[in-house]
Amino acid sequence: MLGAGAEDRDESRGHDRQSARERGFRLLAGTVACLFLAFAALGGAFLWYDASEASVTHTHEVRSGIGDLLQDLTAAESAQRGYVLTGDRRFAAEADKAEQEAEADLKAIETLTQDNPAQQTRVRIVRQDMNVRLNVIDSVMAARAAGAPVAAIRIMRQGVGRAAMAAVRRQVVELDAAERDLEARRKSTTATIRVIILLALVAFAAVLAGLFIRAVRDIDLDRRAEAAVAERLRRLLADRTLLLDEVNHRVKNSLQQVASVVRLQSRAVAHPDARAALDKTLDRIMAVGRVHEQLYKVGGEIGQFDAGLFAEALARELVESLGREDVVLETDVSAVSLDVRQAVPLALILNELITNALKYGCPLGKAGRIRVVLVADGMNYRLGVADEGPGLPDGGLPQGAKSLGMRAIHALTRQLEGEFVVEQPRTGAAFSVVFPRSPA
Amino acid sequence: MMMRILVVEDDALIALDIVGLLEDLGHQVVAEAADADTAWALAEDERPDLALVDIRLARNTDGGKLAQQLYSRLGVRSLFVSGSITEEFRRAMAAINPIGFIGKPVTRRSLDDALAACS
Repeated sequence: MLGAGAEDRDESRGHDRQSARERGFRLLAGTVACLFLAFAALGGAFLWYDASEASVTHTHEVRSGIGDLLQDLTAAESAQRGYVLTGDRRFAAEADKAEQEAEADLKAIETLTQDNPAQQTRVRIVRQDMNVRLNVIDSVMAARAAGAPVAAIRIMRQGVGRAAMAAVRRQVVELDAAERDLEARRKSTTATIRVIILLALVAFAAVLAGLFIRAVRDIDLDRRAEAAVAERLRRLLADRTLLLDEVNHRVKNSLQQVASVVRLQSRAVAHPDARAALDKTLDRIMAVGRVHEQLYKVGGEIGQFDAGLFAEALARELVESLGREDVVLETDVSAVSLDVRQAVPLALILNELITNALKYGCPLGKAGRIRVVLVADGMNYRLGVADEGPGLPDGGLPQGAKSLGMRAIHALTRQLEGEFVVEQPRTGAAFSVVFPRSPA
Repeated sequence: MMMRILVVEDDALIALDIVGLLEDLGHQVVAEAADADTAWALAEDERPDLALVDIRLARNTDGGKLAQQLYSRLGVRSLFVSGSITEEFRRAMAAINPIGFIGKPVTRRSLDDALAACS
């Protein structure tokens, strides 16, 4: 039923399961490592994105600072013109304020573009031209304040201020263009980073999903391998049980065949001695049969034998089978669990002892009593059979000492590695077999 | 009480022994069969009081099924004699009111007790 092929299959199945498990663990470790790396990368990417976003804001600030500068300079020019035309001090104050703001704007731009040498150069040129322009405005305003509007207008007409302002405008346009380029570049970088982060997230999700699917598949593989092993074991067990039942059936049938042949022979012979011998043989066969019956009870636990139960049943059956209703059977048996190897010798010894007790200890026509004991005695068991008959003759040897029954008892006692004891009770005869609990 | 008995056993010597035992016990064996089909034909003709049935019979026939047929159609109860009587089998046969189940090897006493319980 089970060849080397099955064992090979077994081994390869076990190997499959082991490798499936190892793969599962590796996948798990990989998933955890991926998670850590992904979190680190995500953190880095966010910092990157944040910096890029900040640089765009920075450029934007520079550009709005440039706008403010132009506006304030224009405001200063307007206020100057208003003052020259009206002489109103409010225009003078406005011009002062606009000049200060323009200074502040340029200062801010200078600070913001510190990291850009080209822009710093442009800022320096703007500062020179702006200073020229502001100086002209200041002189115009001073002339007007001194009550010389014509002188003021003359200064204006010289065109130094206008030229300076035009220069400022040119430089500012360059400044702004440079910043616009920068802003555009930085915006595109930020957009690229955003796309990279999105792609990384999608890739990460895909990797995670892949790992998850593979892990689930490996777990399923492992589960199926386990189910296959369980199924195979179940079938194997069913096969074995069937086989055992079959053997059990055959043994019982064979015993029945032997018993039947002996019983048929017993019924066929005329001579009482021959018939008695055959009946004795039948009893011995039946004793073996009983042991088998109890050892291999269908569905029972195999290998242990309850000798107490057996001794009681066998004694009762032997007494009853002889039709001796005047014989009282007393039993004192413990639940003694024997090894299979001890069961048959013990059963046969018990059979002989009880047969003898009935034959010699319970004479016909006289009420008798037989006592059967099976108890634990230290590291040994003791089987005892006693009767209340006439007892042993003075020689101390039991009757029929040379009989097959007695020779069998001695031989079987040796097989049990025990000792046969002829006791000396006040009445009747008593025999014991003391044997170790487990065979050496 | 003498009973008319059908013996269904596929092993010839065991059958011979059982017939002898039954006759010793004062019963009459009206028919013997080794398989279920022969047994059924004989039972229809002889109408025994009871059947003594082995479970595994010749030609791969089944003593359990035979006993069910005997009981349901003829009202004949069975006494099972077999080396393989399981709890499962006992439960399955409970419905047909069997006389008993005797394990092999059979003793005069176990047979007598089972038949005494019937009559």
